[in-house]
Amino acid sequence: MFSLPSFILSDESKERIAKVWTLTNSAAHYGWIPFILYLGWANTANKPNLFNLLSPLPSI
Amino acid sequence: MSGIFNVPGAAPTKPKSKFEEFKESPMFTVLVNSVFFVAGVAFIQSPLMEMLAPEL
Amino acid sequence: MSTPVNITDYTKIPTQAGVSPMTSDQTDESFWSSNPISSFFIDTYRNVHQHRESLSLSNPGSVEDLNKEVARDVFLNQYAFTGLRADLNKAFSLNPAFQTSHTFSIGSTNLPSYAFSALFANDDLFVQGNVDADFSLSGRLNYGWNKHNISKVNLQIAHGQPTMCQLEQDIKGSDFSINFKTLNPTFQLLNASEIFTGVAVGSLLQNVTPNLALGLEVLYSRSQSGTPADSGVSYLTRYVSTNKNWIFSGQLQANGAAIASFWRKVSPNVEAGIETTLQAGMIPITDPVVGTPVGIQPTIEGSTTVGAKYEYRQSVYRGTIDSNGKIACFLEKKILPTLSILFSGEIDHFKQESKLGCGLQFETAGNQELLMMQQGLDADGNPLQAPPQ
Repeated sequence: MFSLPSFILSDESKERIAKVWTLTNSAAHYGWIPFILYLGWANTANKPNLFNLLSPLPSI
Repeated sequence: MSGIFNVPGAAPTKPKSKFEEFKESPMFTVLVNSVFFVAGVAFIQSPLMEMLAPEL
Repeated sequence: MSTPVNITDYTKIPTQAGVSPMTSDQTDESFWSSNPISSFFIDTYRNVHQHRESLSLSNPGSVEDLNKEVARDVFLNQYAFTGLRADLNKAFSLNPAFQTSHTFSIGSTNLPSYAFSALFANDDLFVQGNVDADFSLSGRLNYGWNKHNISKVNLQIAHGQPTMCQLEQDIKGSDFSINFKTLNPTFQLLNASEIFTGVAVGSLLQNVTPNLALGLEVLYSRSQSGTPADSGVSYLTRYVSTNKNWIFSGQLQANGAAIASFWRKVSPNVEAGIETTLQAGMIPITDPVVGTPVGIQPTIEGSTTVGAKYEYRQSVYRGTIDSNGKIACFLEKKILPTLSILFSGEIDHFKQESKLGCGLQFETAGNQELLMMQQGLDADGNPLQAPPQ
């Protein structure tokens, strides 16, 4: 039984890396805008609600 | 005179003048655009451009 | 009365003539500055550094902004659009800046029918995101670690298309700017000769005199493993006049393009610019009888664009005319404090084509204070003083 050099990845870990990559990808895809909205919401004094954040109409 | 009825290459071609030859060379584009650039810079730097700016 | 010499203070003990003990300065120095070889390098570095400081050079700005004044401020490449569009911008806060925007568009070839974007920015963080009707996302994030270091991430994710991810690091020195950029980097540890695939760009812009900056950009790209890598060097220069009212910039790009641009601030509200692009390329010559390629011929395509920007209190006018027969203009006028109209037009005289775009931009507010401010009133309903110019 010989062992591969440590920098050569086995098929399993390659698969795992691919899975992590797709997961990060969709996390960024779905999470980017909510992330910005959260940042803005947390840093705005009057904490607008979700409807106000998403609607284009003036909120007053 | 369309090229379809002529044997290509057999039609007597007028010898191009030196100027026409130059006009088709890449150097012509370079020269024209350089002249445009220099003329444009001269125009923008000239008092003419200042006259196009409105006094407010 | 002489004070008795303290015997532990060796510096006061006279030794051989001509050989003085180490001064207190020298004893403070470390091994690296006291040994002759490294001290030579350190001294040389110090001399160069002192000389550089004596030149009192300023930062030349980033490579990306090399011809920003012409290409992004005066020309309308960034602004022109076609069809009808309406932007509904809603501001929630000014400091930190937080706003959302809804864009509707019809009749345009490149604008999506609907897009939502959000922006958040404070002193060291800038995040922006844009999602359109097809749910494709483009986002950017800039984070400033300190005054000299900014990291940037650019993302483009769409369904059924490969994700684009660009990582960027900006380093701003006192008289130079360095930028490292990499697009879709992947590292393959298996294959020693082809470790990196993607695009990597490194650039340096250095001020050599208070006015003149010279730069270099190195590009390396390998689109797929197995294909040969591509690399190239671009040369950059930028000259800013002493009173900063005109700027010349030139680029010699690795892909065979030469770009020269010139910008001048004619008066406080008028800017003018000109840009000439020469693109060298190769086209195959085909045999007139057989139609098979017989060789290649060098070609050069060139175009020169002149433009001006007029900025008034309530409106901005931009116009350009280029050597390919295109005349374009872009007008932006604020007709109410909360409503602007946009007009974008282009006529191509050589091709007999024209493009037209009209737009409305609404500004709404997410809270009372901003709403009053947009109307030119402060929170109590009194007219705001005009900000000092």
